[in-house]
Amino acid sequence: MPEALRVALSTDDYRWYPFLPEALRVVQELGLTLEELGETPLGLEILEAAKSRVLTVIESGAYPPPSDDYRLEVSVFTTALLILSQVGDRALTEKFAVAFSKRVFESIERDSSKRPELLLYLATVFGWSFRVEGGGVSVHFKDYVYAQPEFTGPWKLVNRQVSGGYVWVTWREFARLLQTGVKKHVARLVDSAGVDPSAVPERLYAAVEEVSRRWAEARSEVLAYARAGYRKGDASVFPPCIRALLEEIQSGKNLTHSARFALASFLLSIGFSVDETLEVFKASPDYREDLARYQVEHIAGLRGSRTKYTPYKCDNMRSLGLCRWSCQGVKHPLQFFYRAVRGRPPRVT
Amino acid sequence: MSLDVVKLFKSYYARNTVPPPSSIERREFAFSLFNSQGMFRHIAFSNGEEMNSFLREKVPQHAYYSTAYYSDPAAQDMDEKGWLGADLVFDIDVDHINTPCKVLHDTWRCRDCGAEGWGMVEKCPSCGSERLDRQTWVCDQCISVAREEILKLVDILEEDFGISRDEMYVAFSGHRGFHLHVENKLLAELDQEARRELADYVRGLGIDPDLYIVKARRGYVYRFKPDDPGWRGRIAKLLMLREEAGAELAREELRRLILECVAEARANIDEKVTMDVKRLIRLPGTLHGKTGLKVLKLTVQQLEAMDARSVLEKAIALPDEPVRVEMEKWPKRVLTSVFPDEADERTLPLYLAVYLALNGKARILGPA
Repeated sequence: MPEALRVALSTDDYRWYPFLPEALRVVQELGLTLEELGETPLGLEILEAAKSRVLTVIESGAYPPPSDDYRLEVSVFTTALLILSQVGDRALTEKFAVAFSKRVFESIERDSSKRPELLLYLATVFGWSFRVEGGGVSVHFKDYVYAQPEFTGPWKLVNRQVSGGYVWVTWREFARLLQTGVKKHVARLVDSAGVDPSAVPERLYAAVEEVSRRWAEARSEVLAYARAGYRKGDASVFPPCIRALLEEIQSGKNLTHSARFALASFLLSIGFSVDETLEVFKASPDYREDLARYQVEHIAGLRGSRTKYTPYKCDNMRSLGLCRWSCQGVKHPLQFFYRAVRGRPPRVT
Repeated sequence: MSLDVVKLFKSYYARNTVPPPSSIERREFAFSLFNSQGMFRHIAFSNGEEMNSFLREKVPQHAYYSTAYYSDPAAQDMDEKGWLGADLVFDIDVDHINTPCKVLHDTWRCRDCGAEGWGMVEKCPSCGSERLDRQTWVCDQCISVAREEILKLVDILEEDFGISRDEMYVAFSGHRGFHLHVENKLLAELDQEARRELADYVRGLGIDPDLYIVKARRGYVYRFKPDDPGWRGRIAKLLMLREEAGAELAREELRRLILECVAEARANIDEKVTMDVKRLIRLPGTLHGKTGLKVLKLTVQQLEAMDARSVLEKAIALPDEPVRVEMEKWPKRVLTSVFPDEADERTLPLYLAVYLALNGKARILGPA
């Protein structure tokens, strides 16, 4: 590692590299609290922008270019991380991190010829060991394999110049390694952005719900998984409350109105069609196709107010007597589902 | 005299103290016991004394510890153990390597057509069936091959990865090969993907010869010099030993030569062990339940200074009093002994008789 790595950072750098410790300090200096995010006009603007960043990533796979105001940019970025951490779906975090790192790469490439010291500084922030030599950079192999973009051909470790624990790369390749570094760094920031769910203000939570719903719509493979699981009678991806409702309905019990709403809105949210959802309800003794269809279509947002209803959150489920469990770190049944699909089902007690 | 292995193992653990692995309180232990099915896992010890009293009391047939460090190694659920990192481990097992001595000691019999023979075969040469019963043995030649592989591996780890031999130790597994353990704090956090890349590296897997050659006037030449680092120089050194590589060659010909050099220089490890970040591995100082040999911990320097024969001799942990042994199909070579002639019954040291009985169908008849 170079003894004294000096890099002059401007506020313009904060726009492009909002994950840098110096940039994150800006948010702290603003003194913006979690409560204000949902209340003050500035807070709401930031929250809206952050939500729209995540939604843009879900819809187009691309992270929008930074705004001109670096303070706003950094705040929006950190709020987006907060939303992602509350949604708690690793695949969405990954998608976001990939899109974001691609955007940052544009800037890294620009800086690689003019300000190589900035690239070295990024590597320092990621905790990499490296030294500048031979017209390129030698990166410690543990950091190289961590950031390797491909595992075949010229990127494969076995095809590199490896000596004394260091892998030599060109500046151009170094920039590409940093792109992966950015991606993993951002994913790590999301992991550590954990906030006590009870401290999350209502408005922020609404944003989390909307993102969860849009993400669910976008994920057809998740849906396929859920459908297959449902058909095979393997309901382990469903939270215990929904599982219990499914069991009740399959054993021929009549559900209360709120129980029906909870089940239908959940299934619709993870992507079941109206007809598939109706299939589930057919086991009910008092099933009436016309009435049920009307209700389900209503919940799906196809009728009436045209609002698509999101399922009750855990607090409401509890109040309605539909939840007797405690799922670790989960505030919403959909959260449970996403984590379970990713192979990390929350602990249930 | 019926063979009382438990008694022999018991007396070994009563007389010897097994050195605890580093950070013993962070490791999971697992044991299989004589006369008992399955593996007893999720065991933790806070120090070496605890571990040794366990060994003396339970006298395990096989003893393992985790290469991983856990915050709660005794937790029953893997997710609750709290993975903190894992040593980087390499396994070299002659089971996977066709050593020249195999025709002298290994036998196979086809379950489908009944054909049988000596040596190592993937499938039955007469009917093609893969349902084979095998009897495999280990001898000093096998261990010599495994030792060579370990030394190639050490060279790659030192030269290319800059890992100091002070951070490494070797263990003779007590059976067919060696484990190489790297205990380095920074490397402990490597994930599975990264470990696979390192495993591929030492195996020379994924080398693209096209990246190693360059077009010359009439053909292709190798791009790198013998003193270039890593695989580039390693291949160059071996190419220098081949006359045909001196001239410009057709592309295919040079590619083939390069891959031959790679096959020669690669360390023939079992990649599954290196990739596994939650591996259980034999605990050095304990006995291998299928051989009665000791899992022998060595420094790299010690291994360099020893030949395969002395490794095996040092791993002998059971008494050498002579006993009479009976067996139908004797290997011609086993451990450090050679049996060129046919015989039904022989007089052998007890440790060897135990190996033949545990790993095969030998019967110990009584003291000589």
